[in-house]
Amino acid sequence: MMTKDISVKVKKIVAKVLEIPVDKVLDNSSQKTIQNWDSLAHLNLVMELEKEFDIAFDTQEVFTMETVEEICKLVKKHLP
Amino acid sequence: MRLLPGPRPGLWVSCLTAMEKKIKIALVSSFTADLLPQLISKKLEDFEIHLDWYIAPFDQMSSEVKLVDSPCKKFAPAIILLLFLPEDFLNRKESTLSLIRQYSQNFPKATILVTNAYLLQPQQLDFCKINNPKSVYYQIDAINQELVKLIMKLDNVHLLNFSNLQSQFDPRLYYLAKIPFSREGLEKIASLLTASIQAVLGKRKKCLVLDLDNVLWGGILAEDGAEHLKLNVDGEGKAFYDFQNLILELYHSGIILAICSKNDKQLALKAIKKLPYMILREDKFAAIRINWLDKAQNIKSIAQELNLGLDSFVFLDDTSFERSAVKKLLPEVVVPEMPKDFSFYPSFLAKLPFFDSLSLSEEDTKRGELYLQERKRNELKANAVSFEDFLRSLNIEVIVKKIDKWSFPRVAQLTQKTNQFNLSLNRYQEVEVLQMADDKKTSVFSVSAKDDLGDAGIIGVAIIKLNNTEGFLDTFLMSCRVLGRGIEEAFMYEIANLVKKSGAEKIKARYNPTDKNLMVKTFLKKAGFTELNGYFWLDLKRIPTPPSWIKIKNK
Repeated sequence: MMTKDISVKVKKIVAKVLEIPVDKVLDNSSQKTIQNWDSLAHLNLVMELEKEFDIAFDTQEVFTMETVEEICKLVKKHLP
Repeated sequence: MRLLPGPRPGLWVSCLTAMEKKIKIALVSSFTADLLPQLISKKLEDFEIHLDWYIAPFDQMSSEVKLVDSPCKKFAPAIILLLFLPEDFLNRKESTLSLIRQYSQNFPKATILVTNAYLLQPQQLDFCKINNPKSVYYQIDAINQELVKLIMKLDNVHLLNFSNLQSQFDPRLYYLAKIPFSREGLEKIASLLTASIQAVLGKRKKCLVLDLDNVLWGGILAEDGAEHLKLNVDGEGKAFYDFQNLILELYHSGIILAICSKNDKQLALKAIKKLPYMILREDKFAAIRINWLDKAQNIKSIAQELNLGLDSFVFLDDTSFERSAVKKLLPEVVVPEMPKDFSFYPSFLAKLPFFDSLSLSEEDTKRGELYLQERKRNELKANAVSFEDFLRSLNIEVIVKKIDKWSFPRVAQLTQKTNQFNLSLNRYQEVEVLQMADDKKTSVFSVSAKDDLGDAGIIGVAIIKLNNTEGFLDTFLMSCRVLGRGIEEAFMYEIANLVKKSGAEKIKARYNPTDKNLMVKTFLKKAGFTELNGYFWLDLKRIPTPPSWIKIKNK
């Protein structure tokens, strides 16, 4: 999967889980910039990403991923 | 406190017209279960059930029940989900059991669903450990036995089986956020809770309509011949045998069975009679349609014959053409997709969320027989000279009784399930019925009926609230099965006399009209009621005489 494709898919998932328009999801979006993105939504997002990409993050990564860009990098790392 | 958004406006309007209200439900959990409400609400909206959630904050399990005006108490939920972790049972069993008892006492009006004791972390599997009292396996078993004993004593508490969720344990989410279950596990729990909530609300389906070829047996009767059909106690035919056994279990729990199959009737009936391992013989089916008519038409006529609404039907067929035709023509009927591989039939049936029930009444266990008697009654009717002669020949006896500890589950069930002959459509849960029975101003009556062909059990309910010279008829309902034999008139006659004896002069009733219960209005007029100022009134000096062919007893 190309980096760009990953980014598009991740943004779609973020938008779906947080119930916001996809054009509001930017590379530097994070819990600080999007109000709906609380800790529970974050876990929901993690689970949705794992399901959609069929991957599993490490516990530490779930803590440290903050921006959409970082999430994309982690997804890429886990993809075969 | 965090309340989730309610259902979408469109759905809300449609459920208002269906006279349904939002159900208040509280989630109190010792793990992070905040993701569950959304999953459950979504599943239940498909069944037009709308929930209003209260989610207790983390670690408030005991304060919600101990504080006099805790947020949960102020919310006054109809259902409480009480979800525990394994350590709640393993490390502090006594306080957890006492907590369950306190919830039962402090929320007498709520139905409380509690997790059993289960395991999360994989254990070293050592068979010797199972009978070692110090092992976790042994303790969990012992705690569950104790839990069952406790819950048998608490009318409003029921157990949720979490025992099969160990494979869904997600240690990452658990250590990170105290969510013990994976996404898949949460979905599974949501399904379990969805089925349980439907059971609490009495939304159980009533009739299961079954195809024959490749559903009750493997293969096609007309092509393969009866001797080559797959239905056996071993080999691949055992899948169908097990499947039939599960259906038999549903039959014994009160689900009515019917056949709808495109087949040669004589041939199919012979196979049902003769196949050596056939479990569901002809006498287990309340209605049989084996013909070449379209299945939607057949199901409709079964519904008419059994006097049941189409929305209480589930239809199982292996052919997608038949399924989609029925789905399209009879949208009220539930038509689940069947697995392509018949090995999965038994587990598929076990997972269907339509047949759960919290407690079985005696009527449930006998229902199949009752419908068989009904089929015989119809045959008698065809031979009688006049309808009244026919009724007289049945020797019908009607027994009116104040409710007791044996009849209250059935009474609650009838208020929840009866849609057609139901005056007010007031729905009551078991605990509410018990409360009314304790109230001095309120009388709850049940009516049962029997005749020469059989005992129909409790088939009607009346609830009267006395107010000086006036008896307010809060509930008057009757199971459709027995309508049209004069039993409803006899019941009203007896109720009117009982109210009269307590000193009242008239009965006041409020008819709650829906598109299903029109027959009640017709009945009220026939039973001597007159309409005035939006109410129906019966002058107790003028109670119409009951049908002469019915013997009324009052206990």
